[in-house]
Amino acid sequence: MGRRTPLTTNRLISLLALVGLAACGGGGGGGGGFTGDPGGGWTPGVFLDASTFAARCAAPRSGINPATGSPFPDVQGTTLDENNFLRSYSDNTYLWYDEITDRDPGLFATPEYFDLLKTEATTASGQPKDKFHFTFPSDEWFQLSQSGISAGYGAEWVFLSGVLPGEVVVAFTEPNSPATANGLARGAEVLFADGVELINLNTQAAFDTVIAALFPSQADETHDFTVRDLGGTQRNVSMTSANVTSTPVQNVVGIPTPTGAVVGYVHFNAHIATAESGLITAVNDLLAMGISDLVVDLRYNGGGFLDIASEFAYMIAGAGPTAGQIFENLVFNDKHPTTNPVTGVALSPTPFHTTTQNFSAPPGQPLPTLDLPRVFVLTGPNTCSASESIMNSLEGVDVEVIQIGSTTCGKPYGFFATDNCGTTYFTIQFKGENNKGFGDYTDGFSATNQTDPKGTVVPGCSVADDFTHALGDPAERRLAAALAYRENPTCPAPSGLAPPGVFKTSAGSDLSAVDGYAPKSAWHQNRIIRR
Amino acid sequence: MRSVSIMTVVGAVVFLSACKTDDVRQDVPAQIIDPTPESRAELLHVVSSTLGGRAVTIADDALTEDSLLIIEPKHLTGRDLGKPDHFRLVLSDSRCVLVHEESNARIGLTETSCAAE
Repeated sequence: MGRRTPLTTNRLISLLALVGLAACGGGGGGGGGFTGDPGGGWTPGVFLDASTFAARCAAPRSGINPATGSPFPDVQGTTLDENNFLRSYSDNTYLWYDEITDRDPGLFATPEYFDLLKTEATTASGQPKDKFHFTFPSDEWFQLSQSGISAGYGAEWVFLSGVLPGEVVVAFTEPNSPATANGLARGAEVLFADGVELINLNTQAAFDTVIAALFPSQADETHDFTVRDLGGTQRNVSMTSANVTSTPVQNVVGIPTPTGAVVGYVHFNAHIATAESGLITAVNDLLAMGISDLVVDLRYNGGGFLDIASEFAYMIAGAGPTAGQIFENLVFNDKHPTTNPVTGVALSPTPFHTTTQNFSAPPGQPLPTLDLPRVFVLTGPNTCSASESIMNSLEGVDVEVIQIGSTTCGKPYGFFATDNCGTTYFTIQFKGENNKGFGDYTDGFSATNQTDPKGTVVPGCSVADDFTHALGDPAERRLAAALAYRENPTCPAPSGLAPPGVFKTSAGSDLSAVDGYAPKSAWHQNRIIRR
Repeated sequence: MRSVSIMTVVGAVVFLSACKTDDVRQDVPAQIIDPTPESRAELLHVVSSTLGGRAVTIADDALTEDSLLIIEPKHLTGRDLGKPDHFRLVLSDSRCVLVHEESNARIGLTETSCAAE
């Protein structure tokens, strides 16, 4: 079978695994026996256009494609056709197409073949160069939602071991959610879910039970939990899922300092559409507080809409350093220096947006600015993609970025979701470079004193997450380090995580100094497996 | 060439029609009042249909506190270049009408009560 991601943390990914297993079973087995290749046999290094093989499916779909509103283009084809599509598409659009080992597409089931269509190189830290190569069932991927609305309890779970069995704690909660109604707060640990002990589960059934309980697929599901609150109280909670409204910008506060200056703090956890108006409100509030420094908490922000990152970077820095400068330049492989190979649109740099971009605020409105020469950023392994773009873009225009936290995830890359025959493929197609042409932070950003291995070094302090204090509490380990560094640029002993993805493996965590995975975004969800 | 000409004519007719109706309509931003299972189902159906039949998750209280409904992908990849869809609920000649701002499509809601925002 050869699937590298056998099990996952939510039902979407469980479905993916099922699809993968089914594909393996129906793919015709090993080498030989494949027919219907419109391009003839495999010739290493020779690639027909991907359109030659597109929508030629071993199991064609019928009806209307909800992603396009048009009938599915699928026609009867073979596994070999699907593999040839992926082979040609990857050769054309994959960022490191020249690092793919060209293999006979007739020898593999499609999921297995796709797994091989990527670079096998590693980074300086020893991590895979490509950590973001995955698939989704198309009918799941193309679903929509009201901005910020999802089925759940309104609790952001963090997997301290990155896998199950392992400890799971609450990172933060959404206001007016089932989680807050049941008294869950940051630092609460889930001990049992529907009768299964999380740190001792050892069967597939137990794993599935926990995943189903933690990640309800819809509203009005009731599941039973045993939780231990920060104070040590153990209690049983029965929670019913709801369509919860996410608040991407929270805890906007001004923190007075001994010198009389006020330091602003904002917890920004997702680049979703509603974040645009949330950030504008936050910046206006911070302006009213008269802040002289800002701490942006990105530790659980896996990214999202890149234009919102551009807006926020501009709101932090103001017009001075950003006028006429590049927020981010998208770079595709060397076959496509001037045109986006997926959309066909001419490439042009993304500027620092000075006005609203029609996400949740009316388009064209001037954005407020803080005009700060520096910003403190709280980070962790879940700080990813568009969040890293905020850091990188500001560094690109010489705004000082001071990083307090663990190494970020290292994803300067992006892709266009590509459906073929019911599976949506994600293969890295571009990277983002800042105004100075820098975009090589595959190992993430690490604070200066991060223990090796580290990523691209940014001034600041390596500090582990602290679940024993609320976000925005000046006593919380990362925020406290930022406030102290502001007064005197020294650091506590490094405690942050590096590289991302290597988590503790034993139970009994010190919740005041530990990191974990918050499986929010799709690729995050792909990476939580049963140990 | 022939097909282009036909499309141009059709497009012009649609455009002129839209201009004419816009001239006489008085759209007032509105909110849903007293949502019911039927009105929620209608809203879900209209939004999904407008967006090609894709499955959509919408809150039970959608459009009850605001006239704007923003729809985005359920899953984001982290570095997303797209934009969301916007639906505006308006009162138009005493009717509740949902306007898809990206396409200017207008859909009358028959199961929904609304009031000016």
